[in-house]
Amino acid sequence: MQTSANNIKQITRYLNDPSNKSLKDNIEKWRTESEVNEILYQQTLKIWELSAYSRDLEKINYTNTSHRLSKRLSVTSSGRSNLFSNIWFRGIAAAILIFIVFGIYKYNSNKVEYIVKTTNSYAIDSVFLSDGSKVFLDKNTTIKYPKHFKGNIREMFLVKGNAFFEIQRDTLHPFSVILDKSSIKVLGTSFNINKINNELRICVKTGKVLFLPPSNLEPSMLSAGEGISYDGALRIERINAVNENSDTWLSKSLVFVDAPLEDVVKKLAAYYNIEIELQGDIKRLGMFNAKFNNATLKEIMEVIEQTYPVRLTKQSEKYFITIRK
Amino acid sequence: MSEKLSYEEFSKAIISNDIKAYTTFYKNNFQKFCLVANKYVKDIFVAEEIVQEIFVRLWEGEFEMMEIKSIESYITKTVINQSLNWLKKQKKISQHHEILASQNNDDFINNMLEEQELTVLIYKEIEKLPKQCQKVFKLSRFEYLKYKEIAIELNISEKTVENHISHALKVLRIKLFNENNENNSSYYKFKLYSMLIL
Repeated sequence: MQTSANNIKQITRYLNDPSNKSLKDNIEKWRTESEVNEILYQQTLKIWELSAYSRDLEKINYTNTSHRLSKRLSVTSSGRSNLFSNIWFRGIAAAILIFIVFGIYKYNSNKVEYIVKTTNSYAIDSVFLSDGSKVFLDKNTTIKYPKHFKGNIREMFLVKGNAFFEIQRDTLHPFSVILDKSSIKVLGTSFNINKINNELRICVKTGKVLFLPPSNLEPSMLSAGEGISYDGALRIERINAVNENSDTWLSKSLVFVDAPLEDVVKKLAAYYNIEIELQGDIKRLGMFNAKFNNATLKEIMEVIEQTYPVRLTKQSEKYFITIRK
Repeated sequence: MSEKLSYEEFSKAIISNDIKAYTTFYKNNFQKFCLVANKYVKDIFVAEEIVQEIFVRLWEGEFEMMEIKSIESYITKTVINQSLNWLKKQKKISQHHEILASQNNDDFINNMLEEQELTVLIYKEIEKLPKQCQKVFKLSRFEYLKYKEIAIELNISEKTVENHISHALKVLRIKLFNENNENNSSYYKFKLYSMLIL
């Protein structure tokens, strides 16, 4: 097994002469051997590229530039008029208000105060977090979050239920949602998490999310449109977040992109709380592509009828979609 | 003073005429703003002047600064605008820049800022490398010399050059990705993709 040092050597030689075919082939082969290798390669490549880009910083003399600024500021300070000039007055009022709030916050900053929010089975709700992020709670959902994020840590808990998160971007402070023994980490992104007992369904709408299950399992990186289903023990399955429509409860919009009709039917049955049976040779059918905003079941069924060679019938409370021969 | 540029402390320094505090903000942040300007004007000294000018004018209260969520985003946007103005004056504005100008949304600003922050971080770590290693690495990455050329220049073997580069890459990787051992997979994967987002 090649050691890490040896691997970096290989990469070092390749980066010096990327047109060399044998070096290139070696690296390509090594990269495909495992995800760890690929990551090592990408990290090193990124450093290689950004370090060249940083060369211009050498040209600016650190001390000189600060001295120059100080000088210019003192020139303008002495000539600076009345602090309460028009432009600054409103700024100052706002600034003073901020200082007061800031002062109070500083005083309380030692202990982290958590807020627990729960919804009942009648209504949905939402909360703003102290960093500007927003969490939408579905019915029967409980979250726990700090009143103020302390220091560098942005962390909260989804205790149970279904919630949609819109997280503010902050490169230096990743955001975590803790789900019992698992957690997810994000930078700035929007996603839906459904947690019932120990089962999790996570769907990413925008941005990227890193899912960290308990330590014996591999983490998963999820991009927009991707999702996973975790059974709480050992099984992690990838799901198509677009067609999953996990946030329809909030957005009232249903999106289907290249979705097989059987999946569409399953989703409609779940969302409108009805029974639908698909009959006939489903293999012949093409994929479904549509977007519905606040549509009724009737409207959607009409589109399906127009899209596919099917016949729609209803017996008692159950719908039947029969594929015509 | 917090590591992140905060609106409260920034405006406090201006209002209380605290040149020292304000200059410290500048010192801690000017590099990434210079890199942003540099992307447009392609001249680091012009970039430095643009950033200085902005800091001076902010001090003088020439820009309205109300309800700003992020002072860094605000400064970045101003840097970009002033850079484009400079290009226009130089009649150097091209279609490419017009396109860049039209992408002046939050995501673009954030990505821009992140990339420059990481670049500044790498630069600072390069400065901390052992002397000879640093020299070799800079000849490679700053002067674009091949290993063979560096070996001739410094009168050392090509193998030694390779060793220095490998060492530099190894150290920078550890520093940047905070990786102490190969088993720390989830955290460094996270850092990696956050960099790859750029």
